[in-house]
Amino acid sequence: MKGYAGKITRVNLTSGQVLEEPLEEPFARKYLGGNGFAARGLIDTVPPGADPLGPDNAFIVCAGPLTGTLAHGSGRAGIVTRSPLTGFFMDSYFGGEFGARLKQSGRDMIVVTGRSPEPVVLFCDGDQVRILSAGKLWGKTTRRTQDLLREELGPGLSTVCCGPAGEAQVPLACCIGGRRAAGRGGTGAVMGSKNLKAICVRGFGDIRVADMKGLLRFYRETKGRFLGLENLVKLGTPFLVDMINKAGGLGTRNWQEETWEGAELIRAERILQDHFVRNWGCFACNLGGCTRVVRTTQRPGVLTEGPEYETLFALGSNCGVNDLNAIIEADRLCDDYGIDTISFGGSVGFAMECFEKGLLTEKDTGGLEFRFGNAETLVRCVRLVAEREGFGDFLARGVRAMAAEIGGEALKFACHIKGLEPPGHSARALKCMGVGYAVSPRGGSHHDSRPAPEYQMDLAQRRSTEGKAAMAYDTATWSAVGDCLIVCRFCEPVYGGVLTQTHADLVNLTVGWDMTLEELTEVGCRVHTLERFFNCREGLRRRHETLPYRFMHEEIPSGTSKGFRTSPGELDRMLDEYYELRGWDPDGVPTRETLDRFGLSDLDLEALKVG
Amino acid sequence: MRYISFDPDRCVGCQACQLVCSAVWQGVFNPFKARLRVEQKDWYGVFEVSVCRQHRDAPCAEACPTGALYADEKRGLVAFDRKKCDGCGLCVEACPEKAIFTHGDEPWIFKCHLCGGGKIQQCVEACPRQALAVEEDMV
Repeated sequence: MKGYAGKITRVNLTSGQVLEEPLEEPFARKYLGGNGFAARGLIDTVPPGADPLGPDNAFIVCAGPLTGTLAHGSGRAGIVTRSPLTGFFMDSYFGGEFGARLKQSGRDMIVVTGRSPEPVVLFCDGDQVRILSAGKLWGKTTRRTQDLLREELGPGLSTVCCGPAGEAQVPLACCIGGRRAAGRGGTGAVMGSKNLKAICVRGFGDIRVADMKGLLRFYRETKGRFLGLENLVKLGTPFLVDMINKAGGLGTRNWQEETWEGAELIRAERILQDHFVRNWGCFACNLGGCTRVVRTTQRPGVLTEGPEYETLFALGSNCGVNDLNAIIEADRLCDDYGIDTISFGGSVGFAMECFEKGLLTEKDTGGLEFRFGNAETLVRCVRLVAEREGFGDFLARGVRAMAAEIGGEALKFACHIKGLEPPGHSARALKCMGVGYAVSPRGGSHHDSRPAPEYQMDLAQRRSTEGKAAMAYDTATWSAVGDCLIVCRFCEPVYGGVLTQTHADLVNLTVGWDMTLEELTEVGCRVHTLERFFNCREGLRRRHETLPYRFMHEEIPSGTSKGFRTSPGELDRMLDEYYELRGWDPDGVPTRETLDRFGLSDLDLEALKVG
Repeated sequence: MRYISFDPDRCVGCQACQLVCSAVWQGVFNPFKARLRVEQKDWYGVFEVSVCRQHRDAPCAEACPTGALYADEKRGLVAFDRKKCDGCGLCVEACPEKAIFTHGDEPWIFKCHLCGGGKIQQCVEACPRQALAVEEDMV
């Protein structure tokens, strides 16, 4: 079996025990890699009801069969765990080169359980696995941590770590690998809860593939398919600010509006003109790199990688902040402290609306003025959240927990789905995204069902719910496979925006199988169902699959998508359709037949009865 | 002599050059078995390349005690004869470009040979940013 590294490493930090087992071919073919391996691993490892921040939760790092090869956009790795923010399944991916180095060290997946009595670093150095003291790294930023590790352990190191926010178990904390973030769902807090400061990998091994000649031909023939994405290379994801604002779906001031008068000031062309330093690309990015290193205009100025579209939305339009210097600085601070910019911006935006409506006062905020557009507050809050200092401790809990405590009117504008603050894709202006958020295993994430197809539609098509559940179904199956292979979403032009034979061909050339599109589609459905089962075991039912009150009851007040909302009735119909397509019962639980059909007969439906 | 030139302003560090080099010449994906290296020294800094400059008066050939490395005027490059290499590593030390590499799996060295001196250089072809090119040295 080619393509894979061929080994899974299990580490229990409570006992210090390390187990390494070979990757078996039937398992690999059934679950494919990345997300699939980890979803199965999580279900088999984490007991139902385990505290996400307790020793029983697992922290999984994984790669896919294409990782480490030249396959377009395959330089990513995944982190999978039970989220402290949602309480449900969470998978979050990050670019850079960690995934390739993990594979070169000889591993497809590392499963960490338990809790170390003291701060440690897990070091997978070729065949060796060592648990090292992290005493002097504790409290350090993600960047300093990686610098110190490189000094100490030498060259060839690839690291993923948490920052001070993760150490403080802030549910908005992310993991940082290199300069890239596995942002969503509080993965950094899980690291912190295990007293695990970092995972380092080093390896110089080969990635062998089944048909090298065939693959090289494939790369050559498909390289040209990136033509048409010049904007993405030139401007990066920030080009979406303008596009989505014009479509009337740019969440503004905690989603009170979806068109923003300030968009002009933070659009991609301005970043290029005033802040651009250089382009940067992930390992094996055949697109030519969509990321930019930028700098604030003061000198010497603050450098950061990004800010990506989602950050420009979350820290920009969602907080009404139109000052690019402040956004760049806050983005860098979020990376250094290890905080998810989307959830952070969602939380600050929510607090700002509470403040403006008198539900929070300066007494609550420790004198900070939480008005929309206040860039200084935004920047100052990053450290406060990371260190849980003063009002930061309240912000650090995320929108759902803050709203529950404030209560009343605040619950109506608490924008989260299953506890996860949504990114900058509208659940009102895009109906597929609406139902997609509702059914997403992660909650408010645009990486299960996808927003991309709807941006191409005219207003009438966008307003309609017709076919949107099916679109949510197709794109979620596609993204499930994409996360098993762990390929970048921007490779849609090469592989297709839904599953295609190209995906299967690539797997076959790499691994040496004879997978059909049908078999690959089945893998996607199987993995999505696994995630579903995990969530159902934690009590997830239809009643949780809802949208924020604002998205269902308040119409978008202005702009291109004026009058749009996704009403409870529309959502209900789309949920019915979606569940039926998936083979789940009306309460959203997979049926016995569905589990059997996808080869998941061993999953015990009885275990779900308590939910 | 011809050599691979590098434009740091174009490189984004994707390592496609190293991947395709190891794929074509070693039959595996392994950037550490490539005949060139692209590395970033600083966090937000530029990338730098280490690749053979194909010097006619090659210091590596001078250092080589077995004659495994030599200036090949006909193909216009510094050639490497694997059969003569005894893996002593003196060339690695001698190279001013730090462009001769070793790997624990192999007894010999990895050095750019312009894909045999032919028309197509794989790394140049593979680079999505045209950061690599072949240039001719008239000296």
